[in-house]
Amino acid sequence: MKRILDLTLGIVTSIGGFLEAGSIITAVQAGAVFGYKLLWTIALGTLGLMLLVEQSGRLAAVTGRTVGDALRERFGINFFIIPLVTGLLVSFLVLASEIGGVSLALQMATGISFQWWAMPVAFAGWFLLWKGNFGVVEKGSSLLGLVTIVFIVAALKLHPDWGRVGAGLLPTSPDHDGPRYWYLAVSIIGASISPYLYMFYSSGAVEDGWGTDDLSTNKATAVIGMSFGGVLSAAVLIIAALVFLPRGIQVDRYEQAGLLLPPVLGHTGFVLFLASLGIACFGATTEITLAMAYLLAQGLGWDWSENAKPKQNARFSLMYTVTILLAGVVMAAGIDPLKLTNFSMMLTAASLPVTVIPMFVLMNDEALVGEHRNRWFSNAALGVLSIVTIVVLFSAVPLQILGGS
Amino acid sequence: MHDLLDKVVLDEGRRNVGRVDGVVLELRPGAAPVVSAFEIGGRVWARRLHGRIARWAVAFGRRWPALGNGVTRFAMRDVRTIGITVSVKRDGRPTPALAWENWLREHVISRIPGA
Repeated sequence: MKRILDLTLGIVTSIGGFLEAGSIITAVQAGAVFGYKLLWTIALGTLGLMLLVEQSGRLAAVTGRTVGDALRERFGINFFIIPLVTGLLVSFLVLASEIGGVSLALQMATGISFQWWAMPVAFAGWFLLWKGNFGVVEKGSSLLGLVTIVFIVAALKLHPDWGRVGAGLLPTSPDHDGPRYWYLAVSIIGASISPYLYMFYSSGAVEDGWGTDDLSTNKATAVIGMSFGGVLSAAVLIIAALVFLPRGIQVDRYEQAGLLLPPVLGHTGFVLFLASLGIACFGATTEITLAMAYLLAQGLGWDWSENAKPKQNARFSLMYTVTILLAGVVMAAGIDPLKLTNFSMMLTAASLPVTVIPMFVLMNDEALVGEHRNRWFSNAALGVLSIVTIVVLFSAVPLQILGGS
Repeated sequence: MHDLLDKVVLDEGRRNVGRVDGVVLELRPGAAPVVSAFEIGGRVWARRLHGRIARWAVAFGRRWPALGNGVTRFAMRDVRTIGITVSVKRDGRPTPALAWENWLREHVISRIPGA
């Protein structure tokens, strides 16, 4: 019984925690300009995330090591410094974007500028980390995040042409605005596969004391949870395709995204959109902050745990405190949250090879994962994903210049 | 040497002291060098990265000695086991590796309500 409960909770958590500023904004922008055409990138990104979540969870369950631990131990400091520095840098910008997302939701609700909300939001996130434990951080906001299911309800109410939705799942080249199309394609992949997610996930598995008997839970969470999460992103894109595209609304201001649901669900739609955006981004805020503190603490061998009192892990607690408050300062300084979100998704996409390719070595190391090492299917899929991430890395800079605005 | 480098070091109280950031080799005339000790510290791993980064780390340690930039050295005879982690038969708390942790706990973290 407890097993089933854990499993359900794991899946529900990953669904409720799936959407965040980047996935919402990029899906809205893609649907608004290209209709269903970019749905395949959500599918690709979701499959990639599924793969990495399953493998990092398996690594943690089998070895008790997180991805951060394993990267340092297997490759040494000379390599580890690369994912460490890029991970912290990219995550910091994503974190600021998420604080921006919550602040923008509050701005749309109250009329008070997001700049005034940034520090209170950062402080609220810090307070949750300071007082709460891992379960509260992970499950609390994810359960509230189930409000994002409203996107599926709205998409169904619009009666999309399922034939055309299906066609969108196949990659096609665009008939107009090529650079913008590929820019959004890469952004969506960055928004779907964020390294902080599997860093956080594998640390969570260690926090929860996973062992080999949790492997089935891990697989189910990865496959079912991430699939539903991907469906949520797809629903956002479908709504944008049916609401924004015919009206010619291209989302270049955050506030425009607030018009996504009202044509379908009226004023309730507006309220639910704000709730979804606010909760999803707040959940991501706390998770990214923790993921950054986990990565640094694991890499340098500090004691770390969100389940311990802050003073038991002073450096770890200081790390998340400083990180979240600094990210709040960036937003309070008035950086455009939409531009930052788009930029940080591109950067996330470009940073993928440094964590994705080493997974190959880790998950095939018999001394590390033994009989639970990758089978041919996981390796083949990871191989395809690695090639995608390398292509993405080399196209990121030109696309940011050509398709960024 | 590779069985040791970059692994987490646990003290007798199962506390994380740090990671094995470097090893100390003892050179003996006419015989293979042996690992006699290992070291923990930002300065140590900085040396493995690059000469310039190592010089910055040293300068940083001089500028802010309170940040515990010292080097902790454990002799191999203090090692209890080497597995996924390295366990030592000593208390890590008085070592420079945990100086910053201790200082922060006393002077910063404990003063914030709810710690």
